[in-house]
Amino acid sequence: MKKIRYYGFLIFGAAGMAGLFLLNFLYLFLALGLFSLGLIAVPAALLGAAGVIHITTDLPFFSLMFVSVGTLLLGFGMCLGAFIVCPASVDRLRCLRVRLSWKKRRCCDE
Amino acid sequence: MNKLKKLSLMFIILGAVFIAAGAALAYFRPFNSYNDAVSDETLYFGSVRELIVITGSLPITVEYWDGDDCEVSCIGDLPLITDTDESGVLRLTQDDSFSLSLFTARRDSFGVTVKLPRRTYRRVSLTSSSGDISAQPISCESLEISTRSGNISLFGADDRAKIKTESGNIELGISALGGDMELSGGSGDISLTLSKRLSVCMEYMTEKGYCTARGFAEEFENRRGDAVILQNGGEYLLKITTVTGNLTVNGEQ
Repeated sequence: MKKIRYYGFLIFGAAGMAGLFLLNFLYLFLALGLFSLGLIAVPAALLGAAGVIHITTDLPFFSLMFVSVGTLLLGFGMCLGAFIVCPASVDRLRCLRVRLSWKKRRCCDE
Repeated sequence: MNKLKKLSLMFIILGAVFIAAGAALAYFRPFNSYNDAVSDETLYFGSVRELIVITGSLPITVEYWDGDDCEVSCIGDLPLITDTDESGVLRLTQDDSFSLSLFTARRDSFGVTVKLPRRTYRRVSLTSSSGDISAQPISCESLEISTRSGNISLFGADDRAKIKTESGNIELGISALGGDMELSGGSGDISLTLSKRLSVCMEYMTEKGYCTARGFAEEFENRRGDAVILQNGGEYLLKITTVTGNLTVNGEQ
């Protein structure tokens, strides 16, 4: 019974960790994507308003600026957040590796 | 770590507030509200002999009408780019691949509708990326229809029609054949109606598609792989190729 419970926890724990890492990766992807989009959108909106480049949009200037700056700030904030989220996940991975180690399994079997 | 958490949260909230404010500004702007941001125009062109329409996601409809001029109505994010020349070529282009829109109203009614006076045209060429194309039987020397993922619907076609799609469905009615004809599809299904009078040998070549034939001497349902249908001696060749798309052929009753 103990053994079944142990393996049950192990399998569900591993699946949970895999899901967590996927979420982590998506978070990082989104953060970097939003940040780089904002980095391009803000100067593009300014240059478009100055008439240096031509941008096609039906948004008024202020609305476009707000959305661009908002995207930049959101991306920046999420990138900062990645410094908290990612190390926590690395710590959990270390825990999982210890759990999956042969020593621990042998202990449990005994 | 706590400081970093606070800073990150502050930026995220500030960013979300800015985006919401930008969206609200676009939505509630006092002049030129978002409803008017949709381009809705009707243009008239005289003495058109050749029609070329190229769109991105806009559906295209071509039909005959009783007027003397060619009427073009377009509802979309951006106005149409029109170009005419002395030889009677009318070129309509609509590229919406770089447009950025929020709260676009009337998305369902977007499209280009071309109404042509009843006469014979030199060439009609309709191309779209993801927009559907539907056309009435148009009398012309050459008819070219191609899409990437849009569906094609054409009734009363003949051998002068060249129809091609990558992943769209094709719905086609063939009323006359004066020569061989070719239809090219990809992963979309093809639904074909053949007139009883046609003398045709239809060759269906596919990699993974299924064929259903109804209303012919030999009938079959969901037969996998290549198929041949012969009607009235098979004078002309109708070649249909797909990759994974299925074919349904109905003999006109």
